[in-house]
Amino acid sequence: MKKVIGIIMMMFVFQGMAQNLKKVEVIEIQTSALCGECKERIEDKLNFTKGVKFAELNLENKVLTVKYKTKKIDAAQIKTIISMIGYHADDVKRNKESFEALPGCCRDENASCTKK
Amino acid sequence: MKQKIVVLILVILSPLILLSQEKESDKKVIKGRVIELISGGKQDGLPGVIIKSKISKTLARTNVDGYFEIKIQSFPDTLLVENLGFNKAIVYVNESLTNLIIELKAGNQLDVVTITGRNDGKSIDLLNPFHIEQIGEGELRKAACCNLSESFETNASVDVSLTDAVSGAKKIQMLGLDGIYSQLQWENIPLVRGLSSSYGLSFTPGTWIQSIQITKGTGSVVNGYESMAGLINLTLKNPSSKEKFYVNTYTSSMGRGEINLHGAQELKNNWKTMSFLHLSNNFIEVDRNGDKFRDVPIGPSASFFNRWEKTGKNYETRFGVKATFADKKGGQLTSVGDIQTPRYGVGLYTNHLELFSKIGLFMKKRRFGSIGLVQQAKYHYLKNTFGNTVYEGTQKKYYFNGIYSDIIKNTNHNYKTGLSFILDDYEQTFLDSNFLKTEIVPGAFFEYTYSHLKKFTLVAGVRGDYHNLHGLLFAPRLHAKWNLNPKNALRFSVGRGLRVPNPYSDYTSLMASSRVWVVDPNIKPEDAINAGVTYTQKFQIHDNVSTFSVDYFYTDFFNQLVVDQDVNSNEIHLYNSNGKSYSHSFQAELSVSPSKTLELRSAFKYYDVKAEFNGELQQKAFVPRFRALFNLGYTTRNKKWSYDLTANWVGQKRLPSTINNPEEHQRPFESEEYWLLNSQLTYKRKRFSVYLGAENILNVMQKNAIISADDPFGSYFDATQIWSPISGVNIYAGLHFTIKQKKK
Repeated sequence: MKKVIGIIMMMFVFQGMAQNLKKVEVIEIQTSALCGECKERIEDKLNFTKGVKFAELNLENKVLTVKYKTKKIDAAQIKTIISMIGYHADDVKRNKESFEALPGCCRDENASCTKK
Repeated sequence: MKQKIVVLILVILSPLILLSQEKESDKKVIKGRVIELISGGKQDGLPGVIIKSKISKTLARTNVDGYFEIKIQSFPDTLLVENLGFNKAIVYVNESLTNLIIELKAGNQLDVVTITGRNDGKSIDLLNPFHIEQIGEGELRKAACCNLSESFETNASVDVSLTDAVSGAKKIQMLGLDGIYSQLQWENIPLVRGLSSSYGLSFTPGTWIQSIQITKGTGSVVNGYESMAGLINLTLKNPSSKEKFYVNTYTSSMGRGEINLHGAQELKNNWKTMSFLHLSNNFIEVDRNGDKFRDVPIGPSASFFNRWEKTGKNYETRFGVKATFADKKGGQLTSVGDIQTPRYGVGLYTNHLELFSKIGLFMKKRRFGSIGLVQQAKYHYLKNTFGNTVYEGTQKKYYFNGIYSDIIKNTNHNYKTGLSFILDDYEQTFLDSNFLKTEIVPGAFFEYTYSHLKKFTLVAGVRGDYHNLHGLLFAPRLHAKWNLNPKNALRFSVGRGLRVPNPYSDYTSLMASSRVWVVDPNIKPEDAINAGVTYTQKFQIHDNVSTFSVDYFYTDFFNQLVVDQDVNSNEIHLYNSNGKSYSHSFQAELSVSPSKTLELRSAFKYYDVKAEFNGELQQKAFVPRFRALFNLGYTTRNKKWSYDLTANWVGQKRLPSTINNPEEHQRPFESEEYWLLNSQLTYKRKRFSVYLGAENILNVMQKNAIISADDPFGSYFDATQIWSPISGVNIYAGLHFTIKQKKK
């Protein structure tokens, strides 16, 4: 019986270790993006940020998927970057100045956007 | 013991369970669907509806079927549901709600309807009454080289082929009909027309183009009476595009070098300007097929374009200048020729200057009323030499189009009406004959648009033009569109198109032969009716939108300027068609994204284009009955690498009869089918991207493309019988460097 407990314990230990070893993670962030223009701004910025493997915004539900190397960057940093571009990222509020600097179609959902 | 184990496991697991519970309580998810009630008590999911939570300040949008998921921090909260054209809904939510169904009612308040999709390469808008294919920047980048004609190489609706074996120029075809039957314009200003119709496509560098809109069949009457097979409109880059500074270079194994520079600036008082410069040169003589003729002419070409923009409160204005210079020299290799047997030279010299202005005025009293004034003045000079044949021409042109658009009572009824005026002054010399022609065409048009919700739209247009040489030209047109559901569209169009031909400039490339031109002195306007049906269906694979579309178009010419090379292989006859001339065109296209990174497209085309040639109803020469196109596009998820592969299959084409020639100069009655493969790899960094590509990878080359190539001044010489590429693989490389504008 002790063996069984031992094995179960070991499994958890390994799982924990595996989690520590896991270098790449994927997160989903709900953003306040509106249009193709926003998509391009967010993706372009993150795709060329160190540690980010890829960033992809789904325009249907405005959810951003980011795959990143945990050693180089973390989720909080990614959200801060998004807020600095001018968008809400989950609970992180957008930077007001950056938001006001965005083109019209990224601030007002009724404005037309040339990027489809 | 067993109990102990269970307890132990529970203790070990408990932090996980607690954690997950915490996460759950952190964010609550509300699921639901936004619907619209349609007739018969049926429900229809509304896609793209924005849902905002008031307290948690989160956002969500419905998917294609109207379903949504929104995360909120705590209950209770209030959801705001908004959609254009519908009344707002405010929904109070608490824990007890599980699956929300929100019904929206169509409201009367309608702002300008804006449509935002998500395809950035090629897309078809389901809501427009015209079947317009949009080629965006993503698609344009797939073919890095060089000018407008290449921009269509990944598109199924427009076919591209070589014009002849000496000019290196390419021409387009729609519905199996020559490019001259498609109206080309840029931002609703005429582009390739009159003297530029043979080689004009090469004067718009590819990097200037922001997007291309392709309409099959007759276009809107607002744009003129000339579109029969299609209407192609270019949107060129403008100061509002994001480029502040842009450099592009290109070099190819065919000896071509190219540089493009763009710069945009924002000035005081809402003035904006952008300038473009294109320089290119073919430095080296290339003769891959060994016929002692240059496959592509050598020599420089330069284009310059400067545009200005100002947007005021109730007006906007755009104006600018375009200039082109080209001096291309083709023909036999420099090493060929001596005093006894002179060298056959080809010279293509062009000067083009164009001024344009556009003014838009919004009515203060009428919210939907606006006036648009378009003006263009241009000067075009060309001198084309093919051996001893010299064709010289000057065209001076003035174009005006004034459009007033407004609504009748409500936005379900729109109309556009206006006046146009065209002045074309031609002076042409072909061999020893001189032709002077002045065309003055005032015209008026009216177009009414009825839209019923977003489901049904009808556009009925009519225009009348009075041509000083040919009298009244009357063109009625009708377009309609139904959306049976939000994912499909059925379109129908019928209309008349008219065109006054200009035999020498329309068919300049056919001068590259010893054929004697026999032109009917009394040429009448070309006149055709075009009708077509298009069905587009969108569907989803995982989360990616795929499109299937199928169309059929029929064009029947009441009169056509027939170019007949079948009468005699030493002659070319141009005359008014007395008998039948028609085109049936069928196309099916499937575009699928099996994953986020992969895009596949395939198209199949059937053309039945017939006219009476040499008194016999037969398939038009050089138009294949069957064609297919396959395109594979792969982009890594971070969009740094992209790879593109395009395969074109071109079926057999009928070739003009060469029976009268001596046996060694005879050609088969039909061409061979062939595959054309192009590929390109692009690596993108933040500011620059580099590309490497290859055209015609399978090295397809038409054997003995030029008839009697060794005796170019003899009576059998003919460099116009071209049905496939004449030079083999072309490998190219280059880079784009962009500095984007910070603010818009």
